[in-house]
Amino acid sequence: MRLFFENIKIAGYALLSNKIRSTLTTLGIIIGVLTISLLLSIAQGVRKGITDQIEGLGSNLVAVVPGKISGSSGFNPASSFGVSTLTEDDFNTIKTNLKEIKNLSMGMLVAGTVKLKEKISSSSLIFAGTAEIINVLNGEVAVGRFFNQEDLDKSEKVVVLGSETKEKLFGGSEAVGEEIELRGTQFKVIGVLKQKQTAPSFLGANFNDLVMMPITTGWEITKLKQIFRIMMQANTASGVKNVKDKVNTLLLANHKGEEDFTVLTQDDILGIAGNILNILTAMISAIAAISLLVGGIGIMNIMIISITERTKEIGIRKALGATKTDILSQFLTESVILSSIGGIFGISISFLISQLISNYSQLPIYLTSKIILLSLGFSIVVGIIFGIAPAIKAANKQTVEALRYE
Amino acid sequence: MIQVNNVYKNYNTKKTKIEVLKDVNLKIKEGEFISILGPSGSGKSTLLNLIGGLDLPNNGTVLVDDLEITRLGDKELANFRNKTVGFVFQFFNLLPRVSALENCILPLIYSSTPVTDKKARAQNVLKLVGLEKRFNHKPSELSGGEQQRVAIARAIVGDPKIILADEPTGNLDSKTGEEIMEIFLDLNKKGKTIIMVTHEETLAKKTHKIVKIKDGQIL
Repeated sequence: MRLFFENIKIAGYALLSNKIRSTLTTLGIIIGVLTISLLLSIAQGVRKGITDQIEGLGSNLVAVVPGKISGSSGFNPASSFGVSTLTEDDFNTIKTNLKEIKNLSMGMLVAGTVKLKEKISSSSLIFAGTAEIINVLNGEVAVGRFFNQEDLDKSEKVVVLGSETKEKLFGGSEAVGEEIELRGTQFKVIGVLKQKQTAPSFLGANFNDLVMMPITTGWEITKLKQIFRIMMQANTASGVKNVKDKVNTLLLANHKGEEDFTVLTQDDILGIAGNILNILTAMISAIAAISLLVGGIGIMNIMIISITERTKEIGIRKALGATKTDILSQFLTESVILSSIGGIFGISISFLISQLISNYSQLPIYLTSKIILLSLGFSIVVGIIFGIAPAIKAANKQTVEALRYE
Repeated sequence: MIQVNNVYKNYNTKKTKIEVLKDVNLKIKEGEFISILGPSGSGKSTLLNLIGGLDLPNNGTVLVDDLEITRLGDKELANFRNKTVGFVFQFFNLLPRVSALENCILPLIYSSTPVTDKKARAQNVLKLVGLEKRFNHKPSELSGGEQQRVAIARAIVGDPKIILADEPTGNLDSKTGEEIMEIFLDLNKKGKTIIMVTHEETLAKKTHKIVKIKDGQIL
């Protein structure tokens, strides 16, 4: 490395004397690095969004879902989206037997559209649950009240609206006390939820775009006694694992030993989401790597041309005392500089684009320092991998023949 | 100082084997200025390249200052070319993109011992060959004679004992050629051992000794 700065200077001369060629070669790397860093940033954005959402649910959460979800044997959608295997009996068993939990609640989804005269909010998720569900979901009531045990006992036709749903139907005017229509039944609005900043999506829907009603009311209007979720919070963070195991044992007895349900903690949910994202990220990276590969081939091509053109220069340098290593490092420096410049430009452009995307669109994008370093590292590695063969070729040229080259 | 012992050099093409040098023996003393005279294709340049460590013989040995350069590895040989010899070529062989000064600095950057005053040393040798006003000119902005002066300056910047010149005037008009010859004679007076390959007898006559070579053999 005795010629480190000298090599940079030589590379500078060489690259600048072929500006168009250098620019075009660099462009290949720019596009490769841009693709990799943008796609990884989007994957990272999605990951962050999901993590925020799952963590935005209450803390120490333990949830029971119908169907068996396991990492090894895969996931059967019918068990989760078909008729639920969970029963009210399961709920009651947990209620009577587990003392180290709070906010035990259950819920179901109701298909339907919310209407206020001619206004329709079709995107709103209609969720029927028990009174404690508000605590489990970390929700707060802004105006009015949440439904209580009395409403549940009487299957009252009452709803609590998420902030966005309220906005869509009522705009600025008061909602509490008004009536909305749902599946042909009139419901009285008794409360509006506070807007949540990092709104956890709930089964794919937005927490702020939500209509909640007592579960008994849900059962009545759908004429179907379904339970899609049983949720609870362990009293302590360290108790989560214990609660999970106990719930599992209790329900297994209830289900006569058949494990047609899954007990999940937030870590489990994060794990499942993480696995899916990891596969997705790997696929994205593989696709992006192809563009970097093409960029690398471009570098190799141009280095081979450059070395052939500069055969005489190689001869002169060797005649004046350059060793093979000196020649090798000279051309390797050149290819690494080419690819690093591409990397730096690629990352800069990707930074600008990610800023634009996060400012002007909903697409989650999150360019982390890790992605920046990774992309720069990639571009340098590409420079080395695709520069080494031409550099070796240059170093091994016979001095006399190289000097004779015209 | 320089000993060439029983040296053979062949060039193998696909069909035929060309014997360029056949059993060449030569001894050169320190401070001598000798010319190797012969027609083109006689093997004189090849002999010079072998002495300078640019090429290796198929057989035989070359010793410089008791150092058997035919046995050296890449690093040692590069160091020998850098420290002990200085080359001057017929077609100058300057780097086209950089200035006269930077061309002169070139051997110093490959020196195994760090050189601190590279620029000053290069300027000194350029002044020595009369190019004090051409430091920042690129080869394309210089005349043939000036380019060869840069090449000579480059050959002596590392202060080598031996200068190897391969037809140094072959690409110049006779007047310029004589000027270049004067520089060599001057360098020889200052103690440099010089071996010059040429096919011009008039130039060769100005040197101490003429070695005639024909068909790969010394006459």
